[in-house]
This record gives sequence, structure tokens and C-alpha cells, in this order.
Amino acid sequence: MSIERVIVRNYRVLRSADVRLRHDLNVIVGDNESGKSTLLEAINLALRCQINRRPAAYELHPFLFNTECVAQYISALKGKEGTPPPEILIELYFADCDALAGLKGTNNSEGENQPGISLTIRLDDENYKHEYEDYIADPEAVTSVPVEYYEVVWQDFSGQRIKPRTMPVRSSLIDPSNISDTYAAGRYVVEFTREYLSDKEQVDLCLSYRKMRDAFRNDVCIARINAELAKEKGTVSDKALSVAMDMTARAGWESAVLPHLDEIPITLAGKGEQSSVKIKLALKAQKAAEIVMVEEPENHLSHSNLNRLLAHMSENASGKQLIVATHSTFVLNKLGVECVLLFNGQTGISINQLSADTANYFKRLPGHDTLRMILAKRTILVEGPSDELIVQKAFKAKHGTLPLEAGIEVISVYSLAFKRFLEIARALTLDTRVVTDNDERPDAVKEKYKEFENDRNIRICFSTDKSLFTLEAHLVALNDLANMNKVLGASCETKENLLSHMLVNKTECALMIFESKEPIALPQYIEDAIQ
Amino acid sequence: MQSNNRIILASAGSGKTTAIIEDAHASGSRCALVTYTIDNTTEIVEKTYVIKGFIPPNLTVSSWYTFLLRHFVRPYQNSLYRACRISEMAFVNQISAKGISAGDIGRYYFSRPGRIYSDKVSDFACKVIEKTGGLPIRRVKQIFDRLYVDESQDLAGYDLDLVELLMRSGVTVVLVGDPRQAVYSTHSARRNKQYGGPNIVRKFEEWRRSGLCTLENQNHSNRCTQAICDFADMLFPNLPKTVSLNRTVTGHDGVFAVERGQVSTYMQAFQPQTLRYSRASKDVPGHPINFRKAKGRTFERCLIFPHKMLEEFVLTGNLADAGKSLSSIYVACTRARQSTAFVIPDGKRPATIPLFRS
Repeated sequence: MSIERVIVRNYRVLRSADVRLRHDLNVIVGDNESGKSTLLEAINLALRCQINRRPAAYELHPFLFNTECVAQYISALKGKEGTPPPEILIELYFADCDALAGLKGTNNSEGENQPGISLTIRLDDENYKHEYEDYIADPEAVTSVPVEYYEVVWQDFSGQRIKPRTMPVRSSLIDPSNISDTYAAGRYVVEFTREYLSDKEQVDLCLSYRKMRDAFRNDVCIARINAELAKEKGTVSDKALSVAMDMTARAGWESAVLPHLDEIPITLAGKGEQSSVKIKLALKAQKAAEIVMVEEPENHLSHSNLNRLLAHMSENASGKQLIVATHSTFVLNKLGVECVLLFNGQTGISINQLSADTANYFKRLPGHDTLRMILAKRTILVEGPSDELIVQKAFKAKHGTLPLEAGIEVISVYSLAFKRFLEIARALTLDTRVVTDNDERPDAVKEKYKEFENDRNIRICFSTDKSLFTLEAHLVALNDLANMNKVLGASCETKENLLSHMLVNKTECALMIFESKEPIALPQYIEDAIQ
Repeated sequence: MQSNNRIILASAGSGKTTAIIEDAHASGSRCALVTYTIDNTTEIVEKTYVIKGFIPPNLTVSSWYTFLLRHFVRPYQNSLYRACRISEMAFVNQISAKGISAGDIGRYYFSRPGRIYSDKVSDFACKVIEKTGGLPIRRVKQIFDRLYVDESQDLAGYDLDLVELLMRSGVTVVLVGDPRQAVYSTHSARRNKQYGGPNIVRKFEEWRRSGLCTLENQNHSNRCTQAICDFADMLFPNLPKTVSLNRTVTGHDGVFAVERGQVSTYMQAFQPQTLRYSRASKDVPGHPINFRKAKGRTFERCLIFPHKMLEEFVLTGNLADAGKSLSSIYVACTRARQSTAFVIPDGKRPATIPLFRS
């Protein structure tokens, strides 16, 4: 069973998101503030009806609501416009299968006949109609969402309310970064350990624990202490005072048992080790979670450990739906570029159109620049370091800042790989410019990139002047000889000599041009690329 | 095509419910056990615990209404009704929303938003099926292989259309019931009126003839002694006679009349469960149960406080005197294993049944 589609409205940073997922592996990448984590959090909330591991109804607070949506609501109230109170909606659409047919129906925002779950946080207008009326009576006093009058409605697409125990979909959310204190970390691992054990093993563990508590009470020393305490009857209370192990329900084995790694409590193990243990436990758990979400697996892990963990994840995830949010190019490339989902806060764009060939190309080259490209506002692809420097220079001359500061990546790619990158750019509609030499055959260049002609996000910048086959040739043609000699610290007598000098010392020359304060005329196609 | 659908007509005390549970469990397939009243639902659940010690995971027990709401009304309700979630039912004893046109969905089917009239649930369900090209049926097929309907004599109106659709869908439908016990017609709908009450057998016959199902009679009673069976059979002379399988002898077995003045003596001697026609019957000792409410229950002995017509019938033995509530009377008569006694006025002598003497 897997989630096919997620719709989120007004939950935290997600004003309105609609994301389609793959049934196996999903690697979600996106800018820091794009809401990747929030998306995982929303999915988890809809699957468990829990916030911070407690029932959602007890954890409601105004900041769960999208600030933009709340601001609109408040300003509408102040402007005396009728406006419905803000509502959070999270819908998970599952792939249709018999096991989930009970969740099936058309009670969802899209009216799709699919199994699914919806979680709504909304005004409980049956019980709090009047209170709400009073609340908005004076719009000036309204500063946030009145969550006290809100309810959490958790139901499936058939219109049936969901009880946690009858929930047919099992899931885990693994968020290594979220574990701040050791106590929470321990509890967290215990939870995973518990899911790993079979029912029988759990009962056995529970029994052993109870026996141990009984043994404590019957211990000679404890009996003597209790006899002593019993003498105090009447001084502190009319009843007999004694000590015993906590036998109440909340004091189950979970609160006293801690997993150990090589006899060291897991909470004292390194954070990296902790999180990789958690991820592995979740993948192997007895009550197998069909859906496993992992938030930034790269956290706290060394490169080689991350490599091993990723290998483990790829091997053990079969039959499960894995949703991984990451910042790491390494993770992305290792798990497969074809699984990437570029999340921009509204929708996830996937690369499923990528050819197997290209996907393999990126898979073989971990640490490649894919993520740089995916996360950039715009990417300028150039042929080598000298072109890169000139483009940087041109950009700075025009805009006063370096491209990176404006969120623009300039990436050197050997010309053969241009098309690979462009395939990704096309699949994800990434704003991309290619700066390339014409090698004396502008028609051939045009022909080579013909397939991208209609992609509005892709622009191929090259010179149409046959006689000027490289960037250097353009620079020599456009600039005064003396001026160029000055910039390059050279003393060439003719432009031909200058050009040969530049072609022989490409990178050095480019660096000098980049660092020079002299104004230099740049060819039009470079200007096109940096506009 | 050979149909797997079955209709089993069984007399009171034949162990229908037990048979259903055993059959469902043994089938190993995903079964829905549905019955008309909530009391019967509880009964099935309890019986399952008694027989099996647990509810097998392949069984889902629910009441007819819950089943309809959950699988036929709500999943695709928005094809007809979008105002809000249909969350509850308004129980009505007669035709609801009279004078409102069926096209006015909000008022014809609902007492207030989200509250659907109990007599219109299956009507609504059929409309949803029609409107969506059968989506609820396809959905149910994904969830269940078999559907057992206990107390199926209570189905009426659009319920019958729905059951027919299910029988045609490929889900195996097993209806179990006793037309003599048609005490509730799920509603007094005009639809399928000709099959109301004990006449539901005609519908069953039609289905059998069109090859939709097989129809069997099970005319034995594990519960009642032969004398009790014979007395109860008098109420439905056209239906097959019941054979008792109860061979237990206690010294006070069969059908008796008890003079009003003897009631407390009788109560002391036999501790019978008291039954009454309705709350209108006064001065009934013990913890009396109304006839209709007693359906599905079993007691060792019963003492019945008859209403006027039943009293007449007990005295004369003349079916014409028994009035119209034959089904309720039948239910009351067939609750006891060993003895069914009727209270009669002091000094009267019944024509056909023995008088209890202390």
C-alpha cells in the first residue's frame, strides 16, 4: 500500500500543496524554507492523528495554521467581510487495493473514488457556534485562530471516522534531527524496538518485567524497610506507608527498559549511530510499517556511515514506500535521481520522464552537481572554468553581486553532459541557460539543442558569428588590444598573437579578467545568459 | 449460471444464528454478518463469543443500518448530497417527509442536515448506486466475499432492491430468516408493499425462480418442545410444520394456561421469564420483556401476559380470534425451551390447552 497523492491546505508553511508520490522511493529535495519537513509532518499527522506524538486534539495551537491564511482571515474580519474560519486539510490518496477498499469513497476535495484518509482541523460549529460568534463580535480583538473552539476530524474517504487501532496503514517517521534530549531519544528508540518485536515477544517482555517488580517487593531488604515505614502509621497518614515499584499502567516496561548497543545505552551512543539504528529498525519492524518517512538521513553521519546506511535502505525498502527528505546531493544521487521530487512548497515535480541512460549517468557520479542545479533559482551551464569565470565577471559587472548571492549557480559541465543536465532541467522545469562555443558551426549548435527549442525554461546562448569560434575569440574581437594587454599583463603585438596567448593560458587569463577592474566588453550571448 | 446465493427459511429455535456463525467462520472468506436490530447484533456478537470464544478476524458484525450507512450511503454520498457528512439516522415508525417530492433530496431524505430518515436509508443507497454506476457495489466486493443477513424477513421496501443488486453482483449472499417472525418491517414504505410481512416469502420465491438463489426450509426447532411448536404452528397453517428436536423432559413441559389468581404460585414454582404484548399490559411481575423485543432470545420457561386478542385465541383456539399481530405472538410463543404458559382470567377454561393447577 502506498500514498499516491498528498494534498495539504493551510498547514504551517504549506498554504496549498498537491504532491504526487512514487509507490517505492521518493527523495524530496527543496529549498530550506520550502516545507519539505512540513510535508513529512503533514503526512505523519494524517496517518496517525498525532502532533508531537500526542493526540492531535490536545496539541492544537494557532501556529499550526498557515500565517498567510490567518492574516487574510483577520484582515477580512477587520474589513467586516464575511469569512469562514481557517481550516487545515490534509488528504492522503492511496493506490487502490482490496486491503484498503474500506477507506474508499469520494469524500475528498477532489471527488476521486480512491481509498484515502483526510484530517481536518476546523471550527466545531456544532458545539461552539455561540462562543465563536462572541469571539468575532469585536474583530479588532481577533489576533489569531480560536483553536479552543476547534476540532480534529479524522476520517477516511468512505466517510467513516478512523480509530487509531483500526487504521490499516502502518507508518514510521524517522527524524534524527528532532531528538534533542537523551530521554526523548531513548523513548523514541523504545517505540521502534516495540514495533520490531512480535506480540508474543512483547507479552514475554512485559511478564518478565512484572516478575522483576514483584521480586523487588518481596526482597528481604525491601520487606524490612516497609516494616519500618509501617511503624510510622499515624504520623504522615492514617494509612500504612510502604514503598513498591510503580505498578500503574503508565509504568510499563517501556519506561524502564532502554535498548543497548554493545552494552552501552543507546542514548549514550553517537547521534549518527542512533539515527541509523532507528532507520534500520523501522525498515525491519515486525509490524512492518508500509510507509517509512525519513527526515535528512545525512544528519550526524560520516560519509562512509551514510554510504552504508543508504545501501541498507535501498536493500531493505522493497515493498515499502520510502519518503526521504534530504539536503545532500550524495543521498540524492545514491538513492537515484529518478526518484527525486523537487518540492517548491506547492507541488512536487518529479523526473520520471528522465531516460534510464541519464538516470544512470547521475547515479554513477555521486556528489555531482545535480542538487546545486535543482535548488538554484537559475543555473547557467558553461563549458569549463574559464567560461565560468567570465560569466561570473559579466554577472557582477551587470548586477553588482556574484551570481551565487542571487541564488544563481554557474556550473561547469563538459559539453557532452549538457544534454544530461538539460533533461533534468526539462523534467523539473528548472530555469537554465547554457553558454556554449559555436566551434565555427552555429548551425550545428542549433541543431544539437533543437529538442529543447520549445522549453521556455531553457535557453541556449551561443554566438552566431562563424568566425568567432570561442569566447576568447569574441573577447579579442570586441576589445582594444592595448586594453586587453593591460588586463592580462601581456604584451602581444597583434590580435592574432593575443588570441593564441589566451587560448594557451585559458584559465589564467580568465582569472585575470575576472579580477581586473578594467571595463571589458563582453559578447552578446554572455549578456543574454546573465539577464 | 449456478448461483451461490442461498435463502434459508428456518423456524424459531432452529439455531439459525449459530449456523450462520459456524458457516461464516468455516468459509474462511471475508464475511459481513448483518442483522436488522441492534439487539440482534449484540446477540450475534455474544453468540460468537460463546461458540468461538472470540470474534474471528474474517467476520464483521453490524446492524443493517450501520452496514448501509457505512458501505452504501456515505462513501459516495456526494453524488447525491453534498451539504455535510451523513452522520446519523432519524428513526421513524412511519413514512417520513410525506408530501415532499423525492427530487427535494435535502428534505425528502433528511430530517436535518446529515440526519437521514431510517425508512429512506436503503432508498438513498439505491439512488447512489444508480447515480454512480454501481460504485458502492464494486467497493463492497473489494471488501467482502460473503454477506449474511440474519432476520432477513424484516427486509422491506428498497432493502429488497439492494439485496437483489448484491445477489447479482457476485458477492455471495446468504439470507436467513423466518417469515413467521416478520415483526418489524424495516419501514412502512410503499415500495415492494406486496412483499410486506410474511409475504416476503413471495419475493424469495421469485428470486429462486429467476435463478438468483436457492431456497431451503429448515423446519426443526432445537429449542422448543413439540407441544410448543405445534401450538405456534397453528398461527401459520399454510407453512410447513415444525419438528422439535428437544427431547428434554422436566415434568412441566408444553403449553399451559394459568389463572390470574395462580400467577404468583406459578412464578414461585417455575421462575418463568414474563412476556407482555406492550407496556400497556399492567401488573406484570418479574422483569417483563415485550413480545417483539424478545425476538432471538431463548428462555427455559415463559409466562405470557396476553393482550385481548391473544387471550381470545388461547381460550378458543380459533385463529380468526388472534388478530393481526401473528408474528409477535409467534415470537412470544417460541421463546421457551420447556414451557410456554398464558395468563387467563380466573374461572375461564381454555378449549385446547391444559390448565395449570397447583
